[in-house]
Amino acid sequence: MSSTQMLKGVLEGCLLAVISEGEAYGYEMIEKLNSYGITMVSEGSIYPLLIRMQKEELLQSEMKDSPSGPRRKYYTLTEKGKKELNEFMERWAELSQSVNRLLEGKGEAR
Amino acid sequence: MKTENWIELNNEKRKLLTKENEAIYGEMLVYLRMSNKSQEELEPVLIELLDHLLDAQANGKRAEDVFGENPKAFCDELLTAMPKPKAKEFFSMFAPAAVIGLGMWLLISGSDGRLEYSLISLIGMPISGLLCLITILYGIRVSTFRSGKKGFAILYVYFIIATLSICAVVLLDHFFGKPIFILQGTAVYIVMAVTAIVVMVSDYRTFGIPGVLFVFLFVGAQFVTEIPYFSKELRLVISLILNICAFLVLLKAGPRKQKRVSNI
Repeated sequence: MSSTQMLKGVLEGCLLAVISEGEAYGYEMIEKLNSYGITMVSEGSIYPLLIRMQKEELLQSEMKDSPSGPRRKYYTLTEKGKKELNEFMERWAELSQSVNRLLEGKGEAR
Repeated sequence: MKTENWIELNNEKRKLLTKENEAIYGEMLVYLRMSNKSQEELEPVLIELLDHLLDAQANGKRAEDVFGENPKAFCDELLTAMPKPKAKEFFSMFAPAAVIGLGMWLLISGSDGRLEYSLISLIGMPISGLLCLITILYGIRVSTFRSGKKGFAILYVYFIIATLSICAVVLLDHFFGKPIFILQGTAVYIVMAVTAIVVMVSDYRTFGIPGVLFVFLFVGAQFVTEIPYFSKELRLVISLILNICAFLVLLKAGPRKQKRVSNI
């Protein structure tokens, strides 16, 4: 399984986390994700998610002038989005702990 | 911002793309605009993607890094995420095309100074006309993301199917149709004049100058065959030339029709 496939399920949560750091437009989100070592085979795959999350009212967007020049679509979290992020963080903590427990010591067993 | 402003902005920004990126983005643009999604919602997304591609380009990335190796799959994913189109917007696109199509049919069938319709043509022509419209729109969609020749071949096959369906109705009407509706004399000219004005206005508003030119040449070609002063051969030659001109105009306006629709 490639890391892209693994990422698919948690990308939504990662986007919520990135946007919670401050309003951002698409390309900025990719740069922030990259700075944490999260890379994607196709960067554009965040857009279907952004559209869906906006439809679900987790995000809201606004056209604004960006510091570098052109107007960009900036995304921010809604109250519902903040709640969703908290839930994601809890679920992720549980899941990663369980997976870590499962994998512990497996490296030596080989 | 209004839809037409988004499109203008898109046309401007697209010039900044490299040739390779413009090829990929251009195909996606046609495919996405040909979808049934609301233009009002789609155009801002198209700009967002274009901005991303331009940023990526400035940082030395390729279009494949942004849209993946399979841009069509990416577009489909995007379309599934988008909300359903509004019925009102759909009809605002569809109604002008229907008016122009039906109007042209009336003008051509009235070129001999008589309007008569059988049940077969009254029912058959609108249906096959609709079929034409759908197959051609669908054909343009299917033919995107294929290399040049293959895409053209697909479009051509769709066009032939659509044309054949109209021929079938005309033939059926010729052999089996009994006129149930006949109009003659001055009334015909009044009806035709009104139709011509309606067609021209809605054509200009939807497709711009090339659209009007196409209707003018295409309908004109049928009228020429009715001019009594010329010899039969001359009429046929003029009509043929006008027809060819009409299709040359259509070819220029054809696949980019969508762009033009929205430029107005």
